[in-house]
Amino acid sequence: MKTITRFLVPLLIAFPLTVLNAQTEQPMIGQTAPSFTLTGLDGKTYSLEQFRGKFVVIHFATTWCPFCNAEAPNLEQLYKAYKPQDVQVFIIDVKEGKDLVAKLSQKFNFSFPVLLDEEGTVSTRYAPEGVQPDLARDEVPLASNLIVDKEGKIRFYSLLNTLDFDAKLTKVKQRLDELLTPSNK
Amino acid sequence: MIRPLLLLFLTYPFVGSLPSTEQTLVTVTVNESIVFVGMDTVISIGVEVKKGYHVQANKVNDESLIPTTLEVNNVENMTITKQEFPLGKQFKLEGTDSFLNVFDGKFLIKLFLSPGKEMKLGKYTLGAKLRYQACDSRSCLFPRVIDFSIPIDVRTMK
Repeated sequence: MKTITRFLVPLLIAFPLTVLNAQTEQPMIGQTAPSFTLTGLDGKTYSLEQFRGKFVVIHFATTWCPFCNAEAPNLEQLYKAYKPQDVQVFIIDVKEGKDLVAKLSQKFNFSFPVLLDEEGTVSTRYAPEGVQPDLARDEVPLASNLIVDKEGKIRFYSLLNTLDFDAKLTKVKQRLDELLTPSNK
Repeated sequence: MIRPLLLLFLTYPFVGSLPSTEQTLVTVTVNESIVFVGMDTVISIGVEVKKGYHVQANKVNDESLIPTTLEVNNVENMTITKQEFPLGKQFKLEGTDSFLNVFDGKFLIKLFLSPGKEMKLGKYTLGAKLRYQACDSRSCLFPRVIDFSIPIDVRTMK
């Protein structure tokens, strides 16, 4: 009995901790953000490299994604609040046509660039390895938020979690505030 | 010893031909229905959404969302008079005041058919498409379409 207890107790303690860790751990942190060059709704070409030296917030979206649309007004607010601190915001719309995306962009009156990833290739590159392996890779980043630092490294990556949905982008702002403190700059 | 082996042998081809995850997210079941010329008939189409997932209902609160839709190819001399979906469930978008109107689990779509008196008797297959957009707690997936058939047997009432 004592032997069983000796093995079972650590296992019982370790199990919930492992689950908790798996839920809170963010993928690709510290990795160089995959490069991209995409056309925006404004017809201009944007590449991640041209924003080196700035913090970049990226949100992967589609027009039909209810969670993306719930975040949309807050993303615009975030952009306006953090723009003076040299923070750039992008929406990368995945696998949709320009006209459809433009319609939704007008509805939310985005003042930051909305980029078109019409083939889903950029979204595929941002799908963390091993996460949701049963999904098409370009589906995995939908409704996620990332922060890329001035050196092009991923410093925040939240995948969709509707059970703890952060429509107001509280965690993104919290992380931005940490990164923007003079000691981190 | 022989029995487990036999079971494995019998099960293997079916396991091998199981549909992929993509196809099993939503499944559609429809049995052959007997319809009588000149009489209205209701056909039930069973839909099952994989546990943990929901699909947007046929009526959505936001025009940018993709509702569940059923498209049925009609045949000559038959009229599809109505489609009836169940009431959706309210799914709260945490951190907002918004709710989504969704379907989950098992539900039925009713298709109202009216075969005209001129319709030839016999078996027909109506081609149908169910379009849906599904989400679970960790992902929202691109819209999908399921192609399926609705078999009907047109007879006369004697």
